[in-house]
Amino acid sequence: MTTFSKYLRLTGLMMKNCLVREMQFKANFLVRFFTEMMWLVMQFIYIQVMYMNTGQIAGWSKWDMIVLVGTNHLITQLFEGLFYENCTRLTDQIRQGDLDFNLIKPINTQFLVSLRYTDYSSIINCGIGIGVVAYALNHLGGAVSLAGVLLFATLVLNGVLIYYSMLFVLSIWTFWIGRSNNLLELYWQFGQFSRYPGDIYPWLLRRMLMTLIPMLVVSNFPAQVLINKSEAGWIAYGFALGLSFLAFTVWLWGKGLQRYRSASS
Amino acid sequence: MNGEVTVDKSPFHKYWVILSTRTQEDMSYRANYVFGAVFRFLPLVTTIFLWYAVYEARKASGAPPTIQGMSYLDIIAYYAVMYVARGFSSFPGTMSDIHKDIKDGLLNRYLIRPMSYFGYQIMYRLAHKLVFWYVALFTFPPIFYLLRHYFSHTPTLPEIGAFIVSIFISFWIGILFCFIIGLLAFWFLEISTFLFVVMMMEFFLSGQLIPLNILPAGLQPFLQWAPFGYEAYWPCAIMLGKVPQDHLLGLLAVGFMWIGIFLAASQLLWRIGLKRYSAVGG
Amino acid sequence: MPIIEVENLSKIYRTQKRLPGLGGAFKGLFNRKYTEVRAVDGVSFNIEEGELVGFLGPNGAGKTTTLKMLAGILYPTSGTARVMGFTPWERKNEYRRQFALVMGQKNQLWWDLPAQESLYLNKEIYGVTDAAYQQVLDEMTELLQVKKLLGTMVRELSLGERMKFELIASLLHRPRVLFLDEPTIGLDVVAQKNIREFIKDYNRRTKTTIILTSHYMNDIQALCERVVVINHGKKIFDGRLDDVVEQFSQAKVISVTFKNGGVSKEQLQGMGEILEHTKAKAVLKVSRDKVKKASNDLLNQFDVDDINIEEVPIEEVIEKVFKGSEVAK
Repeated sequence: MTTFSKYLRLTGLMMKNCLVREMQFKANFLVRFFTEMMWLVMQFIYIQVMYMNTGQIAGWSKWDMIVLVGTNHLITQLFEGLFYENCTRLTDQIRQGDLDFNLIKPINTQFLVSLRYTDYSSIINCGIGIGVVAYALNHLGGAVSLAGVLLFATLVLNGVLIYYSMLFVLSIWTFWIGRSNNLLELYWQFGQFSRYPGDIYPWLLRRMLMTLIPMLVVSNFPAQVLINKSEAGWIAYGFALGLSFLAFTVWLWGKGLQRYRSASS
Repeated sequence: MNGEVTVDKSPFHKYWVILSTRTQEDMSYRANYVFGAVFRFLPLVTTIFLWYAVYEARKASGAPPTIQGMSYLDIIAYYAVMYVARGFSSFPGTMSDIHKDIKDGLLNRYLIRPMSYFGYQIMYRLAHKLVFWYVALFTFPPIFYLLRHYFSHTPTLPEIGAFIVSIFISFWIGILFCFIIGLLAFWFLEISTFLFVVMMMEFFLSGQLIPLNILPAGLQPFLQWAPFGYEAYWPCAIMLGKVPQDHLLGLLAVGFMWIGIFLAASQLLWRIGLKRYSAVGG
Repeated sequence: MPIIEVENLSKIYRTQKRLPGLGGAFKGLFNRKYTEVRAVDGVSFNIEEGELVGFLGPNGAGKTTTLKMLAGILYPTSGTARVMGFTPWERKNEYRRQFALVMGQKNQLWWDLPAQESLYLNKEIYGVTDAAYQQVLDEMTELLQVKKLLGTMVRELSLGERMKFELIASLLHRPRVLFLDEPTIGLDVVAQKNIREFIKDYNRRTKTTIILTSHYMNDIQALCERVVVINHGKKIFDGRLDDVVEQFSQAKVISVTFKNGGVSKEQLQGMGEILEHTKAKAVLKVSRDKVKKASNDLLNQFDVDDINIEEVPIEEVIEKVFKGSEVAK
């Protein structure tokens, strides 16, 4: 069994275990699912009202914008479903010294702590995101090639990994500052920058949002592929950025573990 | 003192103790508050550029520079003042706390004490608000100074007075609505989804997503008369000078009417609910 | 070649000293003072394959910290350690595949799942084949009598049952080295006995090297021939448990029962410290060098029904050992 297939198998097993666990708490699941949906509806209302008063915003038509909203929903839900809960738990685990059992297993520890829990209410919301994108593309009329869809999918994954990298770094900051931090709150505050087209921002802010805090790379890039607003050079940059962010998390995690203080017995 | 065990200083003393204790507790989270207070305004950045693009596109296509009487500057100022309004009328967690107190049978500890459950909740939430404003006193002025160019209207004296009264109204409508929804726990045990829908509805109808006057014309009569507008929309509208002076008094009167209705409703629900609660053996 | 080699291992924690009050906090910004906690202080020992060694010491002595360094969970401040030829804190997968860790009252099992699912996940993580897994599972669940509990939710198991499953989970991959940290803590007497017997039997059959930390003397006495005593981060004894008593106890306990009326306290004066005295029985604590004379005197002077000479209870000895090392500091 190759390493990759082994890790894939383990991911599947952990996700299955989570599903079993999730099914025991049906009411909770519905609430969370519904919550995510309602925020999406609010976004639609917001966009609808804006487009009732104008035909385009920074060159984006209403359906262009909806493609972006759907893409962003897909990415954020995929991220939240796979990684968000793990990141919040990780902060507590580090602070309380609860990582011991994860550290003794003969598999990559970062993998284990990052994928252990899956939030199915968010995973299912991904479907809604895809549905919105498909619906909006339908309205725009243009056909999307298979290559386009593949590129979209990989850029979506890239966006998820960028979110993951940023939040992972924020969660493991507890290795250095012992107290619990609410740096994870930043996810919600900065996340809204990925919802709207980068074209609305002035040059400096836009550059910042494509480099330091690459919120625009997350959702704008994949959406732009579908509505034919993207450039090959930028796409390559987007992947390079995603990979380097991920590499940074691996490096930082190693450094953090050296400072790990296990809980006293 | 012979034979006397305690001397009650004054009926309000116990409320003061709660207020001060709770405030002290919140102070220890001060650092988090400052941090949160500054980043709270981050969404405003997107709002500023998003609506700028909207108004620019309108200008390019020859449409009028105002939308329902709101210019670009107005709409940004609206969202800014919204932060102030919500600083008085939002009580996060209150609905679910009350719901939990009832559901888990924790009301007993309040019922046996010589104080009103409402009184306790109000003091508790007020303390939270005081800490919020203590921090806001340092963080809000610099931010509003940066945003000063968006405020094109200088409020008149009557408008300032009306604003202050409307803030007072928003506090009461906000907290009484939380009571009413929270008290429903006497009848319905599992209402997390319902709570969430209510909060979303409140969010939308109070004008926090979009200024109410920009919403479709067909909804206007409902929006203008509904109580939720008083939680955020009306204070902002008054401050921005969007309410004609001769309308101010009437507006505030309706606001007080809603306070009266909510007060009566909450007292009624409390009384009936308590009977039911005790009957079940709480 | 020893399977575990530890040389001068140390773990020193530095925490910032926080001065009280606002003035202190302000001063703390500029002039940082640190307190040092020497959790493990220059510990060295070797363990051969198949040994069952006990780490004994009071709470906070450093035995768990040492164990965690050997498990690769903590990085040492200085010193070296090699387990099966690996440096533990490099956390190579090859190393991790060959040892196991069980900690008392700490769970690696998933709370909301049947025990079997947790075990299966471990099987997959360690890469145990289906056949081997089934064999080990059947064997262990039979031995520990938990076979019928495989389908029970972990959260519904009693503490003892959970501990048994923790053990099984850790042994699925047949580790060569097993680290047990306070495995019987919080368990009732029966469960403690079961687990002790299981561990002893497992070590005997499979020759798995086991390090067991405990502050329960019963665990150590029942299981370990060799004991390493740790206090204040330092190793203060390493050898056979019996030798601990020999080395550190200066006294023995003589229990006598008398016929015909018994003996008064005054009559026993000068023979030793009187621990107990009733009409028919007396228990005396006598220093080692005087035991022979005292027992002779007792037999000669009184009507003795039965006489018994024992070591001072081991708990007392250990306690003295700990206190002694404190005084020596």
